[in-house]
Amino acid sequence: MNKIIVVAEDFNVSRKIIVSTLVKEGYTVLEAADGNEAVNLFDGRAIDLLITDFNMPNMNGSDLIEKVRSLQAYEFLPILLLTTEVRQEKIQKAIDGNITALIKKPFETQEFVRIVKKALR
Amino acid sequence: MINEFHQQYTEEAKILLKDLEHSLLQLEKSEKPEEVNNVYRYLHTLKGSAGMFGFASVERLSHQLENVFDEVREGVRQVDALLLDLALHAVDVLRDLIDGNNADSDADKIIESIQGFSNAAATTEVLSGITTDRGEQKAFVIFLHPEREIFRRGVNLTAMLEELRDLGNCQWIVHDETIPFEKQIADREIVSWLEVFLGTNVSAQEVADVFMFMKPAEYTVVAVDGVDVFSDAAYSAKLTLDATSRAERIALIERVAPGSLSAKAPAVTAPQEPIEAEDQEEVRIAAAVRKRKKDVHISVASNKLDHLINIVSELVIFRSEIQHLMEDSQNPAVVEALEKLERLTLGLRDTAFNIRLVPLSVLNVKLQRLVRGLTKELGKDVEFITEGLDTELDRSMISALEAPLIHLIRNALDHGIESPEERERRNKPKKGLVKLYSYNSGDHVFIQLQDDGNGIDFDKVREKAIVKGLLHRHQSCSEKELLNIMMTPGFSTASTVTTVSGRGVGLDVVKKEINALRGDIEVSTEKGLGSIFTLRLPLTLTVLDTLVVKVHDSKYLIPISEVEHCYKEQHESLFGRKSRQIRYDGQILPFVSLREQFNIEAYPQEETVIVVNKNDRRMAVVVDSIEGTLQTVYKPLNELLHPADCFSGASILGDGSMALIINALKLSN
Repeated sequence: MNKIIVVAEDFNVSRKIIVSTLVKEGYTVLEAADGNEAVNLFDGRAIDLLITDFNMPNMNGSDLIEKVRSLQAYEFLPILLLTTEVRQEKIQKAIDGNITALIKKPFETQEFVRIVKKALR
Repeated sequence: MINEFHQQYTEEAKILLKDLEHSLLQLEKSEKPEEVNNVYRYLHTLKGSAGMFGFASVERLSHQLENVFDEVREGVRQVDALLLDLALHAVDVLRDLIDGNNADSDADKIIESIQGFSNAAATTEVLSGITTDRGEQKAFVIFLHPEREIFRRGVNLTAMLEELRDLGNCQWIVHDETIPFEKQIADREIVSWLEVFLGTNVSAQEVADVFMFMKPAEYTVVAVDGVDVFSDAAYSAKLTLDATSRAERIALIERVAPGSLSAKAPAVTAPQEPIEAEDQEEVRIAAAVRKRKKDVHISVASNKLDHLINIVSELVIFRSEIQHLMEDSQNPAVVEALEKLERLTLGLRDTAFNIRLVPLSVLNVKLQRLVRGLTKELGKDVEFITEGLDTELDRSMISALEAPLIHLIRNALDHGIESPEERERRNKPKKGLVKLYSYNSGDHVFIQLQDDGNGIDFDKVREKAIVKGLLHRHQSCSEKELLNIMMTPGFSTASTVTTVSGRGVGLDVVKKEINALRGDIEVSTEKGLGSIFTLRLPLTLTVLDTLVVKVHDSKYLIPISEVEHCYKEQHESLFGRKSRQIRYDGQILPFVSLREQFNIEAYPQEETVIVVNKNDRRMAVVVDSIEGTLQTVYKPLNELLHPADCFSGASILGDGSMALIINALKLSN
């Protein structure tokens, strides 16, 4: 079956770009405009990857990640964190040991797809 | 005697022809000297043995062709479309001849045209000598110190190790293995660290890319450029090696990347302990033997294989039976023997089923030729790309897949890809793209056929469905439903019937054939951009994981892959409602009680509801209870029972009794 990816990003345009890139690659994408919406998607269904922004309203990225990781079904889910944050230590500290990789925005589509594919292996 | 050899010759000749055909098609893509050599060699072999078995025409025809390709080899002739057309046509004629069809006159005709061809002024351009570029095997040592909780980061260590294996030859030593490494992986808690030896022809960067998700502190990639590496700083920081462990590592590197050390090994290594040298030699010989072994194939008559599989299947069932009979045995020797028997039978079963697996690429040549022929016939310009055709499937499934795949490809070329002019008008690349790829996922194999053509025109489909009376004019219909309609019998959208497709049989046949293999077909399409047909097939036809359920005093099986959810409910609350429906996941689902279905009057107090999901269609089946799960061997039903299509097959339970496999979706009708 198609791999299912959850994309959490509050900024509409970015989200649309990410989603269309992933759909073009043949993935099934579930969209969320903030952390709360995203958490609701993790209701036990099969999800193969979470791609989330760091700064979002109604629960930010690091809280979302912590929440998702605490659910047994997603204990080992690959998670990619998108961020523009330059001071990476701050983020690293927030999510250390919880995420698979960090993707710095803006990113190149090809590279992005490569990372996603790799994370889904 | 002669007859037996005769049979053997025709079988071998057919394989040769197939290889020949494949090489010719390769030549069409690019003119490689080694491919020309192959063609020449195949023809030569064919000719040589044909004479011995009295295939005079085969001998003459292959001789003529051989001459032509000899000229190509010598560089006095170039491979062009005309030559390939001729050669491919000759392959067809040769095949006819070997099959014993009377094609002698065809052979004469083609020999004549080859002779005419030979006499024509041969071009004298010399082939440029292309050297094979296969990259040298390089050796790497990689230290992996994964964090204990690496899996909790969503980093899949297993996938990474697999990826390393895909890069080339790979061996590893597990250090600090206080818990068996497999167990660590299974528990997703890593305490060991790994010393990996990799022989590959990719660059160091590509090797490092495998560890994209690892932290810099978690891995070190060291390129091995001689035995010095073992005394390097990078190594001594991790391990101090004595003479024996050094020798062990040298042997490992020799094994994964033969020659990588000796080629560059500095003179210092000469005065080594004799044991080491011997070791290396042994390893090298072992590697050579392995290499030779790898290439040996034995052809076996398929009915022998089927017979083996049948016996193995019976054995698996028989083992369950014995286990059942001896279940209460307290004798530890018996228990141990039973366990051993289990291990052996399961091993035997897996191996036997594996023998039947054949890579999809056996169809490749046929499909390539199909595309080649069709594009010419239809005046279209198409590139046909295949990927992942090394994916393996059951042999019987491969042959059953041939017709549906051919049909889908015909469809894609005829209806999907537009004519070059049309494509240019639409700002698409003039050359259409048809891609066939395949991959494994879980216990299923997926085959996708993708084209960048016109996509499916739903307005047209709708119109057609109305005309054919499959849809009411005012009935609204989703795209998904329209796709379903497209796959019902008697539907074909080609506005004009061409010789290629649109002969009345359509996607319905494809769907039926795929379903018969217990597979699914799924279509996604975008108007103007193309379509993707996805076939999902079980890995083998015969092994099935099932849920054993009990109804009254009989047992039935439901394929686990279809089961979505199970729960218990009181009989009154379930049957108290007006209609036979349950509420599940915000949906109203119909349910069928098997007791009711089989006219059993009494009901248990507490019923078990099983929600079944197949092809995105859900329904519920009500049974008495769940007995457990069972991996079972699928047996098709006798034709006389076909009207009872609420059963898809039968199987034998551990206690030797028979149980029917329920096809839930058919129950509701």
